[in-house]
Amino acid sequence: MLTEDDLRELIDSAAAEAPAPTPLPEDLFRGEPSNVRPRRGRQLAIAAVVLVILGAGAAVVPGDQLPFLEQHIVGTGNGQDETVSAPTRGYGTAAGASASAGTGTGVGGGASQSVQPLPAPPADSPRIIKNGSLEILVGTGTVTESVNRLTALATGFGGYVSNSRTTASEQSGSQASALISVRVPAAAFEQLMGEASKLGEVQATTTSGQDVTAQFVDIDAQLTALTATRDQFLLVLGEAQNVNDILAVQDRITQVQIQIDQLEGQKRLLTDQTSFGTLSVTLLEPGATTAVPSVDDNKDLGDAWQDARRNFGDALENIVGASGTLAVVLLFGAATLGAAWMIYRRLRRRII
Amino acid sequence: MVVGADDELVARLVSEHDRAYRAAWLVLRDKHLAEEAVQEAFLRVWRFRGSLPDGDAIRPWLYRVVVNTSISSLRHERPRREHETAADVDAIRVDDPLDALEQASIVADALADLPEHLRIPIVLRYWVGLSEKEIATAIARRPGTVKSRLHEARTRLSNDLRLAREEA
Repeated sequence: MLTEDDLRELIDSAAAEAPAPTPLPEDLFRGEPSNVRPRRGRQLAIAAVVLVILGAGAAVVPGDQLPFLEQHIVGTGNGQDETVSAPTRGYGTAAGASASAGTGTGVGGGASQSVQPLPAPPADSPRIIKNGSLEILVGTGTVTESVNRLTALATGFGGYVSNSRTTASEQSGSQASALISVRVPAAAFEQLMGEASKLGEVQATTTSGQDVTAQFVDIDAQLTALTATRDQFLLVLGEAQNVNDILAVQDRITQVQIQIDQLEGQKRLLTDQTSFGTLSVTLLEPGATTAVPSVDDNKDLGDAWQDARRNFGDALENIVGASGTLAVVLLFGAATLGAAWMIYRRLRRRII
Repeated sequence: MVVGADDELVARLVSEHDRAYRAAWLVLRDKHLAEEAVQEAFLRVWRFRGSLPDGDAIRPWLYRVVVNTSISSLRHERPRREHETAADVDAIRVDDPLDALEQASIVADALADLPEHLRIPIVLRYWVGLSEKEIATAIARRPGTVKSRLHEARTRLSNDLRLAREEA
């Protein structure tokens, strides 16, 4: 085997075989700016920001896993509910649409209320989604009148009719039953129930309240963290000096912005749901049955899709909940390691 | 014009140019590619002069950049160069008797036949004169890895050169 000296001598002779180099151009370094921050430093800065994103995501999970997962799985799927003035679907009288009375099976109409400004509750008050239902027996031939009175009540409280449907009695041609859903500011919800109960003899009543204060807090915390992360990325983007870096940072910014948009959509939805209570009232003449199809029966494909997504999210939440915090920690740990490995490979890719 | 520390850096780069060029040539076996790789490396060093290490610690860093630009050039030009190299080897073996002058070409060819991960440590060790630790810095590997690669490279070079002599 060659000794080191032999090898050195041989390679010296091989190097001497190289053609003489062209001298360096005299102006090679002239006008070249100095990049104070080396390339690796910039990449490490990007890596640090990525880890901050993952860390921010992991930080919010232990406190309450469900809202965080729902954010990623359900996303803004409930966006259609964000429209406050949802028109009635298909049937029935609308707010003040008394002309539809006596037209047999209710047709057309629509509660085309204008968009109501949301009365935002105080920031530190509990956020409650209020829902309720009433089944009221009214006098013969008074269903239409009761619908109009209920509509007037809702409007008087600053609310609107979100859905309604009426059906006629085959014998008399008058309205035999009606189902109307109204939305009023949450503060007036109980008052509306009280007034609506006076329309006739109350057969059944239900109310429910869902406290979503924790979800609000979680969303705000995530929005704060993600907004800070996006701002940091924008700073990094300003210092990027080649196309690859720019594209990589822009991709990250897009991902963060999507999450921010999803969270803001969720927040708007929750704000709407907590700002307005929803009351479903069934009005029946004596002898009439609840033949009025439930408003929920009018689900379209979009509703089914929302249900499917929501149920999928619930199922995943249950799995995560059953497997405990450890699974979530492992998940984010794996994601962090994956990101670190990709960055490491990028840094080392040009080294033999 | 540049002044002070910049002048020192320019002087250092100019003095290192010939050795860096021949190191790149041993890796690339192409004059123009080697010149381009070294110029690109020097420009990168110049751009990042604000964060360079002091004194002799700059050498491993400098050759790390030269290695990077050489490898980039090598991978970009590989298809064309493989064809040229094969033609050169055939010419030497068929047409020319072995003499002292051609031994250098055979060594250079044997070096070129080594894979990159063995060729570059050999060039940095025996041409540039870096220590194993400095080579580790230059190629971003552990010193133990450099040591084993140098050993393997020496063994393969010895065998290749012995075979070349026997054939001649």
